[in-house]
Amino acid sequence: MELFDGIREPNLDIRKRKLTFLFLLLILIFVSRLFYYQVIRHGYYSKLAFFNRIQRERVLAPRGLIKDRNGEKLVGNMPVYQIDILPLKINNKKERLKLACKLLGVDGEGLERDINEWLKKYPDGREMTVVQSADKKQISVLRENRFLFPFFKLVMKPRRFYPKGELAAHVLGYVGEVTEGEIEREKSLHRGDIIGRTGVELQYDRYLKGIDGARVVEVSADGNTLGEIDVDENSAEYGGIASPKVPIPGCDLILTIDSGLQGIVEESFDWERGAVVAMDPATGAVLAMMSRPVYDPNIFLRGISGVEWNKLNNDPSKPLFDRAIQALYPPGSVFKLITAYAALSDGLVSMGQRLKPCLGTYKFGNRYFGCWKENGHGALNMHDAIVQSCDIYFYQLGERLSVDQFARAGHDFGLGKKTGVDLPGEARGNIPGHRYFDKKYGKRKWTKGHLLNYSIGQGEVLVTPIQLCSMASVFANGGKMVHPHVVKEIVDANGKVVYKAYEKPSMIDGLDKRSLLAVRRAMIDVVEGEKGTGRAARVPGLVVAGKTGTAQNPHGKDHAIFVCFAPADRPRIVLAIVMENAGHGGSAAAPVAGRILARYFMSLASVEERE
Amino acid sequence: MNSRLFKDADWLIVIAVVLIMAFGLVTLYSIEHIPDSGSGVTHRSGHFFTKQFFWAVLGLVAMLLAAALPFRYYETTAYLFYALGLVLLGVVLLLPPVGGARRWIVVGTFHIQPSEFMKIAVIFALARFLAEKRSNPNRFRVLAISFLITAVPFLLIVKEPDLGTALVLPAILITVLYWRGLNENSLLFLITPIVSAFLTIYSERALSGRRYPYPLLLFFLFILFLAYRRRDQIFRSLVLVSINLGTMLLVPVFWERLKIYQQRRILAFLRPESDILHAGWQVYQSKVAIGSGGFFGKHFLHGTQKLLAFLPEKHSDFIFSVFTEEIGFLGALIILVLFAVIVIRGIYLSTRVKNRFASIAAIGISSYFAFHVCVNIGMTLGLAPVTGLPLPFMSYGGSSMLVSAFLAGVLLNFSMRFYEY
Repeated sequence: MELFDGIREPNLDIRKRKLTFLFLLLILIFVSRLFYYQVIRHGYYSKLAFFNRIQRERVLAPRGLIKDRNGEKLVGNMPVYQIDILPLKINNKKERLKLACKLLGVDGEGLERDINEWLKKYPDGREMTVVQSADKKQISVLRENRFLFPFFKLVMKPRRFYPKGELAAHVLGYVGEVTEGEIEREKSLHRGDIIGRTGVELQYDRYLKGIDGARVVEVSADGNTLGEIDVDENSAEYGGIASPKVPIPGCDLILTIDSGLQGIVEESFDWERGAVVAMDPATGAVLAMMSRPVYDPNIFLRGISGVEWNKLNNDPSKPLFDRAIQALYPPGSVFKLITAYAALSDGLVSMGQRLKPCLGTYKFGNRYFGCWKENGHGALNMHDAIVQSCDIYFYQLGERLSVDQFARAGHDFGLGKKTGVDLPGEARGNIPGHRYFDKKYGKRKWTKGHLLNYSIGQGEVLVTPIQLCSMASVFANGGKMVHPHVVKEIVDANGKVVYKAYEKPSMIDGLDKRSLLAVRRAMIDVVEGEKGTGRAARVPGLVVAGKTGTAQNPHGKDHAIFVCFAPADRPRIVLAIVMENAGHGGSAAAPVAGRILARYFMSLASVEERE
Repeated sequence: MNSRLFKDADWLIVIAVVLIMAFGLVTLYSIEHIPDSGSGVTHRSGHFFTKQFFWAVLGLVAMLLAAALPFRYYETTAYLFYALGLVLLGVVLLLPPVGGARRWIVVGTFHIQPSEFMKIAVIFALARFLAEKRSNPNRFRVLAISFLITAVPFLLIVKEPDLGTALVLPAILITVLYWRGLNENSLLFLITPIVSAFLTIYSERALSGRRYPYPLLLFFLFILFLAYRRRDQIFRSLVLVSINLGTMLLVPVFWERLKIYQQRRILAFLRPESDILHAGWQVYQSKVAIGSGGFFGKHFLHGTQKLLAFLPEKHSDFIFSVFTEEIGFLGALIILVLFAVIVIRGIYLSTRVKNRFASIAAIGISSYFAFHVCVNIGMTLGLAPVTGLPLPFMSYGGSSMLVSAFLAGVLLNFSMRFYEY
């Protein structure tokens, strides 16, 4: 070959063969590589490709329902569509976003601001909720324009629904989505999880929650779900990793609340602030529990905005605060029941013994203490003093009693300690002993004078409405301490009872039953007697026992308090009523009790008649 | 065109080119065919397919034109076009960057890539220079000028930056020098230090990874073996060993002086699996696509990997993965055979033609195709760095299509006029 006739002519045929050989060698390497991947390792790569396009999606377990003692639904679930935005998908589609906002009726400029804030907070561009509860029109706008608005995502969310509105709102409590902080702290939580925030929703969250399932979906390039895929055959092939899992619904709560009575209580309570607790004295089952002011729990269904939430949370009247178990009030004259019992059981006074007459004021040391009745009651025995709620009589008992005698009696009746009701955030109250006074005033710096106020339930003594109710239960059931509770039983999805409340009250240690029954007799005359302070709670055909209280309040008008039980011989219900700044217990709170009892026993009679 | 030219034309090349173009279009069609199992609607954009169809037609026209002109024109205008190419490369570097790099001249909706056209210019310029009678590549002057012809555009393209495209030029240079008679010893001096440098960097510790010194050690043993075999020329053997050893010792010194992000970028280029989130991720997904295709593939339009965002360059650099996923091992074989036809026919032509310029140009064009095919397909199989080098006639892109078709046309041209001196 004479192509290149220079010095040292290359042998082109050899070089051609070498180049061809080199090239074919490379091609051969590729072919063997392809064979390796596509034939030998085909199964492995098929599996990888399969997992590339599928995703396991969590299927939320439906949260358990909450029903009243008669099986009436108080909290249910309702699907709500939420509109989320994927900020990173907007890119150059600003115009389309504007159009979408117009169609959805969303403030476009505000949204753009929110998105910028959101991206600063979460640079990974996670979805942000735009509309918490989309209406029909918004849903159809997004469904019809899926491809036009790829940055919007419709997410079905189960929301709590309260068919009876505000009824027993504080007992039920509300739920909320977990926060980022909670997810960081608790590994088992996922974004979007719903957990109880207050009430039984919080207390029994563990039972209500259920176990989430999973479904297997096919995903597209941009991570959009294309649809659920049937993976039955694949699940065998890939070791069940891709198998779907059916969610296990949460357990249902059966409350002790009687929604009929709860309704009666809420209607009868014609005051803005206060609380009522109704209990079965034989079991401690809370039949009704109410706190005012109240909020509408269904605002959480619609989805509550930050502004609304702040408004609710910062409302000076504190609607989210469950006064029945969290608010502390001086018990006022209701505490005289404890003073009377303490003095009787310690033998400091006898039932028939008349003390110094009440002249409207009482001088102790160089201080004057007044009775609520300025003209005075005259000389009274124990029975009449309770019935007429004479302060002077009880000052004299206070003089004789030591602080620890007060405290012991108070504790015996369940005051100054949590009742243990199955609701979160219960307050302890305060029944001070000598240690408390030593701490507050200094050792030996406090005198008997402080105890005079103690004896009529003013000053340092503080109780919650539910404590008043369980204290009254002890008088009602003849000396047994109840275990107040609002959940009767818990039933799982298969109808199996997984939890049952402990309903047996326990006898109080070392209780002086004679003294207790003596005080109990006086309670009947508080309502039924001619001079009783609680006459307004009378119900025709029913013997009611009770005690009024008027708690002095340094910030305003007195709180009206009334506790009672009925029928007096075999009590079926105990009521504790607190009305903030409503005045006298006898004139403000007792009539409410009367109305409640009248309607409750009327409805009981009609139910029993039917049966 | 007279009948003799028509008869002598290498129709195998034409058939191979047209078939590869068709496979490329079919794959683009499939990529844009996105089934929506949610609503049952299939929606497609057709953007790439339509544009590429237009480019393919234009490419065939370019191929015919390249075949029709007497190849002597290419020889006479070689330096002119080379100079023009350099000017364009200079202009690109002065223009504002597009997508972070200065690779394109944007005219309307078209992105013209001068570096692609420069490949033609370099092939012709080298062919013309080496076709001169006095151009013995074993002489220093000839070697130096050949290097210069390649190095200037090479550096300009590296500056864009587009290292992948730039590397085609040295590959062409070495092949044509070899063809022109560079003796094999000199070739060793040229090639082995480059391999040593790459392998040294390859064995460098990635920021979190392990060292991979074994390929380097093996290569060094190979050098020692060569030196031993040529022990009669003791001086040359010593020089060979010492320049390789020198490279292996010096490269780490420079390597240490690079910034960490620069090291990372080079490592990602050489060893994609060290950068699993970017280049390595693409290679991984490409392997998954190819492997899951199996022997017969998932059938046309039924690929699943193409639906995912995992193969971002699926319409251009990784089109072979998408094709292979759907058509399978058989399809891959067909593509490889078709490219082998073009390359081997080119090599065959380089001895058949009577003209020296044509011979050198033919071997240059063959090396152009061989390099592109090997690097691109090697990349999809994880055997070559992720360079962004397109697969000729298949990858989406006008510049690459026109240049490849033109060069195939030049091969045709040589086959029709093989007898011309």
